[in-house]
Parts: sequence; C-alpha cells; structure tokens
Amino acid sequence: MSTTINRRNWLKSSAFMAGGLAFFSGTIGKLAAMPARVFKPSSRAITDKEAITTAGFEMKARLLANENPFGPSAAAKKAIQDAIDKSYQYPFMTMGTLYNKIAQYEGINYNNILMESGSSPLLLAAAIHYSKGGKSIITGDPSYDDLPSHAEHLDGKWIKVPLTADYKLDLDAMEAKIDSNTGLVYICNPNNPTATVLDTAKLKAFCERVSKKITVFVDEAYIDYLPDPQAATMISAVKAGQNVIVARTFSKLYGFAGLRCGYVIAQPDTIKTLSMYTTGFSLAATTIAGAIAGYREEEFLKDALQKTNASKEYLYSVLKKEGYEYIPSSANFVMFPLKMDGKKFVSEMMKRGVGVRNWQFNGKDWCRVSIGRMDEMEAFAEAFKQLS
Amino acid sequence: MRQLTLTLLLSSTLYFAKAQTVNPRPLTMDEYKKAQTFTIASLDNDTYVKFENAYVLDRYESRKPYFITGSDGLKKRIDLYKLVAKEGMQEIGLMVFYTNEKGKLYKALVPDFTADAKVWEQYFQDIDNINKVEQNFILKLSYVLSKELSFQQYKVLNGGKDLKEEAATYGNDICFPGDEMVTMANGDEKMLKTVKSGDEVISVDPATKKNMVVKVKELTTHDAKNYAITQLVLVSAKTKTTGEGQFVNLNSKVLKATPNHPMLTRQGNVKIGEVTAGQEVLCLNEQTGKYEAFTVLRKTEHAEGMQKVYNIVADGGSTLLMDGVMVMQK
Repeated sequence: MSTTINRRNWLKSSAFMAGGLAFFSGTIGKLAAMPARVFKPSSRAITDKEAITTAGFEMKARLLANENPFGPSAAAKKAIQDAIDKSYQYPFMTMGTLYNKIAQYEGINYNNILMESGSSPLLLAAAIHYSKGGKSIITGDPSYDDLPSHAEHLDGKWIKVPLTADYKLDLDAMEAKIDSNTGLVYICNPNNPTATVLDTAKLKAFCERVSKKITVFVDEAYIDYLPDPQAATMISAVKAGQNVIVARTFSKLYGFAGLRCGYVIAQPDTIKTLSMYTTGFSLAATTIAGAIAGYREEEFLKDALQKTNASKEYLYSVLKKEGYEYIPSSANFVMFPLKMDGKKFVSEMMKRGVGVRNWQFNGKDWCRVSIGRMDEMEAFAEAFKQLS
Repeated sequence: MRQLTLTLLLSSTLYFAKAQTVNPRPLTMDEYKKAQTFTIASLDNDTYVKFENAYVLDRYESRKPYFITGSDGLKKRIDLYKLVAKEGMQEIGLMVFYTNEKGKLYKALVPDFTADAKVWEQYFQDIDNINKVEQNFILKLSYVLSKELSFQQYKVLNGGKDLKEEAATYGNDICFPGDEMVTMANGDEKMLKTVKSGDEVISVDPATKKNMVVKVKELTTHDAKNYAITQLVLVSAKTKTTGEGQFVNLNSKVLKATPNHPMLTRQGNVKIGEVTAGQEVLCLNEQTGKYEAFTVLRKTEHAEGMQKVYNIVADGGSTLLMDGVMVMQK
C-alpha cells in the first residue's frame, strides 16, 4: 500500500472501493503518470472520422462507423440525465461502482480492469508500450489498424499477415511471424472490417500457447454481437493467469460511441503498466452513470441485437438480389466485393445520401456497410440499385 | 477541310480508344445506335447513370466539364462519360456531350479500339454531320481528347510520318500548296496563289514582333508534282480551372508547307517537317491583334496529289504571315 495518496492510487485503493474514507482536499497530489512520448497523427488510410467529416453531402443513412443506432437504452439515457445534477462532483464513488459491477459480472478482481474514455486511449497505451525499442506488432491484414498504425509511427514495426481464404485472421501464420523482436500480437475478434470470427477453441489454444512467449492483445469490441459472448471471450485466459489483454467497449452494442467508455481486462501487473500511459480519470460522470445503468441490461441488449440482425438480413437480401456475394457477418457490419472502383462507389453512394466505407485487398475493391436502422438500410438499397 | 478535321480527330480518338481497358470487347453497331438514345438528366450532378440495367455512363475520371471559347467568342461545353457494359464492367466507348452556346446538345460516342470498322465509319459520319451544322465541332472535340492524353503521348504517337499510300515527292523546295491566306499590307488577306509581283505584304520582325511592309518581287511557282506536305495544327489555349469546370479560350490555326520550309520556334529555325507537337510558334491572334506563341497540337505529313507549290520572294524582312502563322521566307 502506497503511503502517498494521489488520484490514481486513491481510485485503485481498497479504501476507495470500500467507500469508507472521507475525501480530503489537499491530500490529492499531482498525477504521477509517466509522460507519454509525443506523437503525430499517423498518415494512413482514411478513417471513419475522416469519411464522415469530409462527406460533403447530407447523410440520410450513416452506415460507415459501425455505430448502434438503437442505443443507448432508455435506462442509460435517464441515468445520464439524472447525473447532470451532481456533475459538479468528481465521480469517485460511481467510478468504483462501475469497476465493481464489471468485475463481478466477469468474475475478476477490480485490479484486472483499466477504464478509459473508449478503447482508443487504451490501444494507444498498448501501442506506445509494446513498440518501445522498435518492437513489432503482428496483426491480420486487413484488420483494425488503430493500435499498429500508432505503433508504426512511434518507430515500431507493423507486421501484416494476410487473412485466410475465408477472410479470418490466420492464427497459424501470425504465430509463425513471432520472433525476438515481437512486442505484441494483436487479435481483433470479430475482425474489423471483415466481421469474421475465429473458432473459439482454436483462439483459446492460441492464447495459451503464444502468451507464454509474447503478450496477446485481443480486441473484443464486437463480441456482444455473437450468439454467446461469454463462451467466445478470452477473459477466461486472463482468469487462467495468461499474459493476455482483452479490450472491450461500450461503443458498439451498448450504443455509447459518442459517450466514450471502454476498458481492458488483463493481469494486474499489465494493468499497472498500461495505466502509466493513461490518465486513469477520463470518464465523465454522465458516462459512468449511463454505463452503470446500461451494463448487462439484458433486455435492451437482446432487443438491439435482434434489430441489428433484422437489418443485416435485409442487407443480405438486397445484396443477393443485386447479384453480389458477401462475407457472412458476426458483427454489426457487412463486407462485400464491389464491381467498380471503390472510391467511385463510395463517392456515388454519398451523393445519394448513404455513407459507406471502401477497402482494397486481395486484388479487389470492397465495401463495408455498417448496420443501421431499417429505414437507413432501405436508403442503402435504393442507392445501391442505381449503381449495381 | 473535311479531310483535315477528320484526320485530326482520327489519331486522338483511335489512341484514346486504345488507351481504355485492356482487351475490351468491341462496341457493336446496335450498342452504338442504342447509346445515342442515352441521356443524362443533369450533366452538373449525375456522374453514374444506369441504362437498361446493362450499361452505365460513368463520368470520365470524375472530370469537371470543359468550357471552350473559340476565336468567335462562343462558349461550348464538353462533358465526357465512359460507356461501360455492366457485364464484366468493360469500357466500350467514350460518350461526349457537347452543348453549344444556345443550349443545343450534340452527342458523339467514340468507339473502343476493337470496334468494327463499320462502327468507326458510322462515328466519323456522325461527327462530320454535326460539324456541318456546328462549326469547329470536331476541332474542339479533338482538342479535349488530346488534352486528356497529354502532349507527351501525342509526341509518341505522331513522331513519325503519316504517309499516304502513294509515295510523296521530297525535295529542297520550300513552298506552300497555294491556298494559304497571306496577310497583306492593308490588313486584308489574299490567297497565296493569287499574289502578284508588286503586291505589298506583312512581314513580322521576330525580335520586336512588329509588322513591316515588304514588296513581293516574285511569286515562285513550282511544277505540279505529288509533293510531300507537312501540316501543323496549332492552338493557343488559355485555361482557367474552377470548381465548375475547365474554362478554355481556344484559338486554332492550320498551316501546310513542304517539309523543308523553315519556321521560327523557341528552339530556333526548324524545318516544318521537323517541328514536333508541343513546340511553340509565333502566330497572330486576330482577337487581340498581337503576336503570341501557339503550341503545335498535331503534325502530319502526307502527299496531297499532283499540285503546284508556291512561295513569295520579297524585297525585305525575314518572315511572312501564312494563315496567321509566322514562317520564314527562306
């Protein structure tokens, strides 16, 4: 137990979790976080943000950022509104409540969790730490590029491993790339942008085997869209004491993309390491209140998933009708190969009020459509038929 | 003139067609005729339009339109769309939407390279028909197509000679076919073959670009032979690009001479037969009355059949104005 009280260890201390000690002004010291290195934004392919901000047309169907238009839940919204009244206070107590709630549900300790304003700061923290000294980050290609692209800009190396023939992460090939310079293996499951999911048993075996050699980072941003998230999660690997980091977010099925709430689950020592690169105190009181109310609100989650799947099935039918194949999706987006230039397609769709994204890999142009409300999907269908 | 303009367009459209998708299937005559019925509701906004669920007009390179103003001050608009067959997404033609200053729309479909000769014949007949009622239609179309290719491509394409079937006569004569318009001292023009000894014509001082009057001592005439004739198409294009499109003030001139006739370019005196596309020649801009550099857009060399050729021997100066183009006297 540290003898110096500061915000960080106050948040982490048993006393804080118990809520038994009074708060003293003047006892909070300056944050003792390790200064992060300065970095510049990575120059890489267009991001969801850039796609939206440069759209130039009014979007009647915003299908390019993998958001959930069915959230947040009514209870979460009410909690957010109610939290305004006390938002003049630091949310120490409610933060502890949220940590405790997640820990209880997942069957872990609070010191296995690190929360931040979305998973982005946590991905950045991992990028900074695991790329130190020019270490490499191994990822699938294409896959979510936030962590590795930042690492690359910080003088880390990015080793891209092509997907399998059915567009899944190629675990065997990724493992084969591990060498003495490897800093981290990054797994996005379900994968973005292909929305494919790995065989759970195979992934568990991979984590157990590989984590003995190198840290494995499993980004489970979309896991709530799986039929049985608890069976598919790699949190069990953390419980088993493995050197695995699991990232989660409220941005997807919970519908909190604009509220910014994410966390990682890992060994306490790893949490301690990553916390040196984060503020540890970036969640707003309103966000915390909403997250507490919305976490594991099963009825809402079930309803949102059902609506998402209905929209997805509609999208499948549109693609089939127009003679297009697609990759079966395990998330809230669908990827399919285009029959024209990808940039041209996205531009033409945007002119028709529909925002989608394009990728280029395997010698093809691809489109990724995020799942929206049914009226948004119908807008997609109408625009798509003009181009297909 | 018909032969000239058609020949001018031939190389650019052929090359352009060839530059399309590798090994596209040919555009059929039925498709050629059908495409004439395709319309774009809004040339300003529509960039990808489907027809019969089998064809697409896809805005060429997402290009903004060309707005070309000729020496007559009339502004024309040219929009380009690729004609794509949906099956295999093959580019089988380039559709040109040409709108004149009165809002009259003309369409021309440039076939892809592999199209049957009959389709090409139909295309040339169609644009020739348009050219009869829309002055300089083919020239402006050719300019736009060539602009998209770049001068470098033209240089590669036209670096060699374009000889007709019959062998041409080459010699040391530095002469003109005779139907060139010579600028006279009073500003009028006179056909070269009708110039007489004693006439006064304009000569331009290359250094000062000032006119001087010189007297014709003799109109030299050479016997009728099947002379090789070099032909230059020169343009002065002042271009301004805005969000609306590319605005072009386009002036054009055509000059013919035997290959040995000298011209003054930025690179010095060059025989017309050795001038290359992209080089600049001093010409008179009738609109401004000033001399300015025109760029060689295209050069061809061919025999025009048995004909006399002519030249002027003057009592002073070093240049003459033939069809508004400055040429060396000898």
